[in-house]
Amino acid sequence: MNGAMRWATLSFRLHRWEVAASVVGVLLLTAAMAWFAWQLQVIAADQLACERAASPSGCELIANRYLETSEWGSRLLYLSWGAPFGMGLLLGVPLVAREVESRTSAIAWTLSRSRLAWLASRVAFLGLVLVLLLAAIAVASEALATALLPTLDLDADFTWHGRRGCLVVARGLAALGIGLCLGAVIGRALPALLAAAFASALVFTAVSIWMDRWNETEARVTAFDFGPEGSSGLDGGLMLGSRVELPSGELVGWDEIVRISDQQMVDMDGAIYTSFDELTGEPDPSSLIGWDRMLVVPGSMYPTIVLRESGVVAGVAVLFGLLAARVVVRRRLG
Amino acid sequence: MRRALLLAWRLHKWSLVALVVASVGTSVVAVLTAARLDELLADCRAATVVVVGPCGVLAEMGIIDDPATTGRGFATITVLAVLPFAAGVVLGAPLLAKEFEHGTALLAWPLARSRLRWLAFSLVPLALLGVVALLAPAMAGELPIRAIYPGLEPGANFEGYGARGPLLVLRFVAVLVVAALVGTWVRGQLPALLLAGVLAGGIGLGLMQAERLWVEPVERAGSQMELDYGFSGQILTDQRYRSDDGEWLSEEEVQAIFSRVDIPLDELPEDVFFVIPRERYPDVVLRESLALVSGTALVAALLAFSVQRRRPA
Repeated sequence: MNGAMRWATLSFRLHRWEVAASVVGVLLLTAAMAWFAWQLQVIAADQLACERAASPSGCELIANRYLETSEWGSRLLYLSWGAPFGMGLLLGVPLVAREVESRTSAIAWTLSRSRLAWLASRVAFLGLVLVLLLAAIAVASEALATALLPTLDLDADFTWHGRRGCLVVARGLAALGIGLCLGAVIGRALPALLAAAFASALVFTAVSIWMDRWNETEARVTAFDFGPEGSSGLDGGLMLGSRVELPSGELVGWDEIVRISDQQMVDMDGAIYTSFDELTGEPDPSSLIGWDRMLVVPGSMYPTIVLRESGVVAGVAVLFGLLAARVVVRRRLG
Repeated sequence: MRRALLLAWRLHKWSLVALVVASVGTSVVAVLTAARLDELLADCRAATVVVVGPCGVLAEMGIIDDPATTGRGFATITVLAVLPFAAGVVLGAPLLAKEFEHGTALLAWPLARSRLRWLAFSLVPLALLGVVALLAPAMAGELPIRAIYPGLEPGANFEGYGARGPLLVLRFVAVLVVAALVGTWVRGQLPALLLAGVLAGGIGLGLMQAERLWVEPVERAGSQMELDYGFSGQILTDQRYRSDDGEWLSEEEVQAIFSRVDIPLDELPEDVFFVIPRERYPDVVLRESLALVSGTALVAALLAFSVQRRRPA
């Protein structure tokens, strides 16, 4: 017990600024999310009571208040998207870089049993802090999302994908790994932070493109079906792009259609024509070239896709962690 | 001056390289996106009939709407809007914080003829290099806006406000000085960077709110707005309803009117928008520029005072 306390205290002292800043940021964010979730529930209850009352006057005011509160609440979900990247880099970069920069790595590495043991001990503390803090954000953002969209089953819905749930934690760990690795390679905190920010942008863009390609294997070709209240007809699905379905059943991009003809007309059913009667505006049925379609991963796949992406992102974290370990083992003292 | 520039480059080469990479990268994306949109515009102007696709809203909204390219254009503009703040923080916060963290202020300050001279010798070349690096994105930012809104003059269009032209450069200089000031208070580069980042975020949000306060908004009737590309390129500050006798209606009164199902169209109240019209864009830019220059001078004086008073260790 004493050993664990000593380990935690020493690790905290070495990174107190980064840990304190992360804790304060997460406390503020989760408190704001909890407050908005609570407010939304209170306003929704008021609205329900108002609508059930004998004279439902003034219900619009409550509806407006709900709308304003939900707009502000949904903005907080942007922060829960950015938090894992910011926190992961902030905690990961200085871990090795600062030791090298302030020339304390020689003492620390010589005094410890092995460099790997030293690295594992430091990473374990910061990884634990990061996981706990990001788990708090993931839970709070899930609760806020539920309060924002109470009628939806968010366990089978891609709305705010990546801003809630376990993917938030996995992305944080990957950012920590990238920061750790570049900090070890460059050996100076500020340049490593800049390089890690660029590298993260590249790595996560590549992962996102690769995941889209993988998810396309699960996607279904769906007609645009605009619901009665302006919904997109996605039913909680993840839209991967729009395509044109040719009469042969082949799917092509809009670029292809523009090449076929410089004028297109789409009717309410999504059928695309290249000519129409100039007097009546009716499309010429013989000029039908295909149907406007979208590629959608169904909402029911949400848990599978999130787990899959979390697994890939966690793999990135492990890969960069191993690279960092290799750099630390091979780095010259001093 | 050449020696000062070389020294600034040597001391901050990582941050300057990062800034140049970001500046060149966003400028290239902005130019390529604008070129693609210009091609689409040429096709739209050649097309005989337009019902869907990128040309669909050109006539009504004055905008080319090709989802992928227009989206990339707006994303580039967003990056350009953030760039001066990020650059100011990354270059400014470590300027003094690094000297204190490494203990080199103990050596550098006594060696310089005066601390103010040392500060000027450190800050001015860095600001100059930063300004030069940001000139390309400041000019390139005009291109996607010109291409996305071909019906509007970029000099009379609030879209991309702050992400292009002189404001981008002036915002950078202001944030640079604020971040340098933070570096005198906080020991350590990363904490200074964090705190300066939070402050820069606050300044950015403040400027976003302030853009509607520099000049008086004017009234525009709803019907007039529809004829004039909607709200494209203007800043909407408020919307209110006016009765036939010219009285402004309260929110409750408006809701009472609209909750009636049988209301005749001619009894609907007048829909009035308050906007800062496009043609006031140069005035707003000029006023914010003057405010930024004054604010920067004030913070620079505070920075000089802090450096004079601070203990070097």
